[in-house]
Amino acid sequence: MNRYSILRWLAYGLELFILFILQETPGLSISILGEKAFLLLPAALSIALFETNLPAMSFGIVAGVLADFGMGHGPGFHAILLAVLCFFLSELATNLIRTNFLTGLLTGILGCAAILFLQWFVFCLMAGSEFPGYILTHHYLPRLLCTVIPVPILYYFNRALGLFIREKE
Amino acid sequence: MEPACAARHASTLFFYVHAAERELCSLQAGLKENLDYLFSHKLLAEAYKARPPVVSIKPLKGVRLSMKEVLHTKKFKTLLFAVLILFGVSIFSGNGGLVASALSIFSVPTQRVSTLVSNNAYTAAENAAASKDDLLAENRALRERISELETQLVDYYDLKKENAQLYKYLDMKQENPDFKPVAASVIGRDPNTFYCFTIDQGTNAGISVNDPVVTDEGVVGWVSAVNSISAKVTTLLSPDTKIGGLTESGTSAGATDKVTGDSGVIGTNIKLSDQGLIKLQYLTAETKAKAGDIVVTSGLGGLYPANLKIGRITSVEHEEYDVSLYALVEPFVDVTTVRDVMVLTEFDGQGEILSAGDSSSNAGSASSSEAPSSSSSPASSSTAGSSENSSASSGSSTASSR
Repeated sequence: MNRYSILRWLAYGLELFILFILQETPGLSISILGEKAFLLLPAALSIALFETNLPAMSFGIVAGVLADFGMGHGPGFHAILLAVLCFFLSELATNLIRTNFLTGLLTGILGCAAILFLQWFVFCLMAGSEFPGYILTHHYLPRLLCTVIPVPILYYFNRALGLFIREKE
Repeated sequence: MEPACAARHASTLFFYVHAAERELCSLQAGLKENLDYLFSHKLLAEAYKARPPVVSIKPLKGVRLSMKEVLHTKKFKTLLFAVLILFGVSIFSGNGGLVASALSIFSVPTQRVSTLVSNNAYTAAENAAASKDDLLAENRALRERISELETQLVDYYDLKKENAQLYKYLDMKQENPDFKPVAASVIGRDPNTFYCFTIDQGTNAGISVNDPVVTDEGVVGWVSAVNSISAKVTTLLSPDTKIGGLTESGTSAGATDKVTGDSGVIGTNIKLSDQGLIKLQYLTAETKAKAGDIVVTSGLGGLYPANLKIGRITSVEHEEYDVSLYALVEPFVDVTTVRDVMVLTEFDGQGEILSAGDSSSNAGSASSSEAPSSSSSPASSSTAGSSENSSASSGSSTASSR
């Protein structure tokens, strides 16, 4: 750990906090068919592409805790899911795949889809809500759509943070 | 062979052997000399430095691990430990706890500021989009309003703003002196919840879970989660909300005449919520409820005071799978755009579950139906005469609120 790492992690933390405020404040984030973007998701996933597995897991936890807090819960569902997902995404980026725009876009879209699908599964289907199919098509799909729109922007932003705030070799 | 010849052969052989011996001695001397040189200090040190490195048991930097090897690394064990800790924290912290309170200290002030900026920008954008005639009419009205406000100006600018906000609740307070209201502003609407929002007051202001949330126009919802300086409100349009309601015949806007006597349970599903409607369920076949009637709270469940306006009936229809009727109700309050609300922290009858016969509000209560429990939320509870807010147990973190 060196000062560049600490500075980079502070930048990531500030980014996640600002995105949390943006997604919570009425009228400030992207909205499609009444559904707002879940901005913390693509941010955490793109951070995981440029960090090793433990820092990636930590930022996944931070994003998940903020998401759970926004829903009115204690840390739980999103914190655990994002911790695991970001850990393995970081491992994937280190050992298996090359990190570029295409892989960043694919992992961002697939990661967001997985988390939102699990959210629907747990909070709608398993909770016994009426019309789960309607909720999926009229609420979760628009939410997924407006969540993946900022994926390229957040990818390049975190790529810039990850590459430029780093000790020169 | 003659002895002289043999002697000459022997001497020749002896000569060659002697020469070979001398050669061997010189070779040995040379070898010894070379060895002595090799093992001198300088060369040995250099040879030691140039020795091949010991193979490290750790993987070299940049060596790729297979996924199977990852599962045995220390970092994966750290992940498992972190997940276990998070499970424990989520089970014990429930819907609030220290983490939520700590986060709210940073997030609530920031959300207040960002919401204020966003609201002002929205208002400015509305003005920019208006037509010329609308702007002129609004200009005249605003000039008149400014002159009227100037005559009412008595104190500092923030007291004036607070007074304007609280003035609209004055009628409610005069009619219900037992109410103990707390003013709050909407500071956040989470994208992962349906028809819920966050307000900027919490337990420090005396708010607790299940407190009703209202505006001067009517009921907004109920407090579903609370921490020290913020609270989450689940609105009427959320499928998790159930309120005991009574119908009243309205002959003019805001006026209520005799009670028609029909009671039921206010609830909704996601399809109706998306249209901005709720429904008054479990009406009897002899119901007198009709379009235009006003629905108010019955107050029987102890969670809402009686006679708070909920909405106006738009139509009465038959249930799909049984013989009972339900009324579609349009709420008076637009919960998707409301900005300022009032939380009733205390009122007469709070927490007291009444039966229909105990209600002294009106004669219509005598015919109230025994409303069964809600079916849309597994955490709902039913009380005699009405079933009110589900998920009173805020410990559930999966199905309590969305």
